[in-house]
Amino acid sequence: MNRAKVLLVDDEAELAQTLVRRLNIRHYRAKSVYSAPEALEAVSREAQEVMVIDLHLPGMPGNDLARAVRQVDSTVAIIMLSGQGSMQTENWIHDGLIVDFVMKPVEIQELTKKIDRAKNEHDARCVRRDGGRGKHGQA
Amino acid sequence: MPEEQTTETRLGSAKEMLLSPIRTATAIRNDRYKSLKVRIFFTVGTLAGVPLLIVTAVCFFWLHAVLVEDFSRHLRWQMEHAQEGLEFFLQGRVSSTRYFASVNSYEALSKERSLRAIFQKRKQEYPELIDLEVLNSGGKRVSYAGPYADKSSNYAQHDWFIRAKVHGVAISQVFPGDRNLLHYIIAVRQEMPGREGFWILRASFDIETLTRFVAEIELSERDDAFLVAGNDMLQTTSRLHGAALERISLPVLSQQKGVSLANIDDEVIGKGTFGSVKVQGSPWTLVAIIKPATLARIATMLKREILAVYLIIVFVGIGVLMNYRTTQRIVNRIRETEKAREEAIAHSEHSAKLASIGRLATGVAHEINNPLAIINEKAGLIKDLFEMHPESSGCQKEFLPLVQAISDSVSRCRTITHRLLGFARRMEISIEQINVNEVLREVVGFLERELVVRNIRLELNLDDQIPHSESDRGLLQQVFLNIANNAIDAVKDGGEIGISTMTAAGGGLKIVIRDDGAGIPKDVLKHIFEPFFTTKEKGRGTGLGLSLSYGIIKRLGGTIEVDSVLHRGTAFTITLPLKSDVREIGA
Repeated sequence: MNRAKVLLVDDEAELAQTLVRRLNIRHYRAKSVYSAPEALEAVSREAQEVMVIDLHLPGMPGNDLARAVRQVDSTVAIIMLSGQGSMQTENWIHDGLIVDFVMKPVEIQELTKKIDRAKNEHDARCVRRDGGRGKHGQA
Repeated sequence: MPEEQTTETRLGSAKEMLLSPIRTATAIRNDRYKSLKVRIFFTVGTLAGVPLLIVTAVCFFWLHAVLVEDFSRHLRWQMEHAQEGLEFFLQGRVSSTRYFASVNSYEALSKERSLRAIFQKRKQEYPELIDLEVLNSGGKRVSYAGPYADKSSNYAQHDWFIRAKVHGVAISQVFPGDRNLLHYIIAVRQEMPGREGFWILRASFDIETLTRFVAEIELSERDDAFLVAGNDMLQTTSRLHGAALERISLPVLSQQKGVSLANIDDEVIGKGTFGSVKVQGSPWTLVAIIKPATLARIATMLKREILAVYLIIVFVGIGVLMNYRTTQRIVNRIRETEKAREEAIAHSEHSAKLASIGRLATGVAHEINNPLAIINEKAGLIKDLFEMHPESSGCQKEFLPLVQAISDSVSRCRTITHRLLGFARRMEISIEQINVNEVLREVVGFLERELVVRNIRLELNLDDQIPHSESDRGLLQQVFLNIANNAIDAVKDGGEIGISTMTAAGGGLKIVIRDDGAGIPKDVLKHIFEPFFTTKEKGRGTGLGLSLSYGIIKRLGGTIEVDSVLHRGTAFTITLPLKSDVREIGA
């Protein structure tokens, strides 16, 4: 199975790096960045499939970053990462800003399951965007 | 843990410090209400009662004065009437006696036969006439006509004889005379025709007629009216002071013409109205003594007014009662308003406290969450690496359980932080159609084992008619479990727990979970919904259960209340709307 290309955004470098390593062990193509500008730069540099964004990012809240990312690339499926759930996250899912939500500390099985679902969503979005023009090529 | 102990002690003393001023304040407030009640009662009472009292008093005195005046006038009129009647009567008798003396010659009258003839004639006219007698200037009998012919005396020294000799006419006092018959005498002097000297015609009369005139004055049983001669000799029988001719001590009699009335307080007569009038041309004074009891005649006149007084008293009574009740109502209203206000303040304080503690807990949980996540991932990575390279290390068997232990501990920590976070904000809310009865049955299922072990009787009283509601199954489960757990902890082995559901008055659902356990003391009851407040022994309770439940039920748009009687038991009553309107708490 073609595992997702994942970009992890968390200011806690230690956590981000470890998670990336664990995802890579599970054959995901994961990378990590530690701030919102870095994340935006990465998205504009190369297409991402799934992004896992910490809600509490310094400088720019996760939801604002998600909005900015979707403006650059509307197909990216975003999973929000936070210490707590709230009505807001529910609303964001409802509005289609994010596809899912994971609580810290993360259970790796839960995360991978949600990433896989997000990847499917991303693929579906690509199909919708391209319409009948054939499948968008993936590296 | 010594630290915890100090904290608890500090909390305890702080609680006392908080509670004692509240008790004092309550006592002061009760005093204040009491004095307020008294003040309102008397103010309203004075405002309404004093004018009424003044009007009543003025009316009473005015009426009294009018009645006394009327009474005096009436008495005066009656006495004048009697006096005039008496004077007219006496004048008539005097005139007729004088007339007989003048039309008949001394010689004719000296003969007993012709005197007797005149006597017979006059007796027909005046039945009270007793006898007629002609006296010479020496006071000796010349002739006599009447029933007592054999008794004769010399009248020269008698008062009436002397007065008749001097004034030409005299009316005597009443006296028994030789014949022991009460009578009075009218004597007229007549000159001897053609020579010096005079003679006197004496006519004696029965006093009965006098008595009749006196009786004309209307009297009640306790009053008295009589004739008196001089200052102290009764001339007619007095009802209260004896028979005629007895002596009586009276106040000084007025010698003026006309009726004189006076209010007296005499030793002999007592209190009363004393009226007297001189009967002109006679030695008599007409006296009337009206006792104050007769003044009570005023009271009988007042009979209708007494009814009015009675009605006034009833009205005043009703007024006082209404005043009392109105006062009571006003003060109660004030008390209720103040209580409601205080409760509202206390409630908002409580909510604010919960919110701030919630924010604090959220902050702490957040800060712990990040390092916890790192520990979790590092341990996970170690595990991953071992699994990737099973051949790499011989110690794998030893390391893997250690890593697992770290993961498990992190898991426990996560539960705590998530609960803390959920205290103010819940994590994932999922509203669905649920049957509260089912949720309760599931919860009971969790607890069944403990119930059996501890021989606790469970009385499930679930109303199957309650409608489905839109709410969060997991959260409700958590709340019910929390409260049911507390109930199990509260009852003794063999105790009883009751769970019941019903439709609430407002249309929602009502769930009551009660136990017959130890009950909750009042000072504890105030704090049971606060986070970290627990009375359970260390390690058994987090102090979060009820505060979480409180937060959850609030978020689901419901209410949670607790009633507890010490040594009798506790009941938690939860009301839920049929459709949960999920709201943010402490955000």
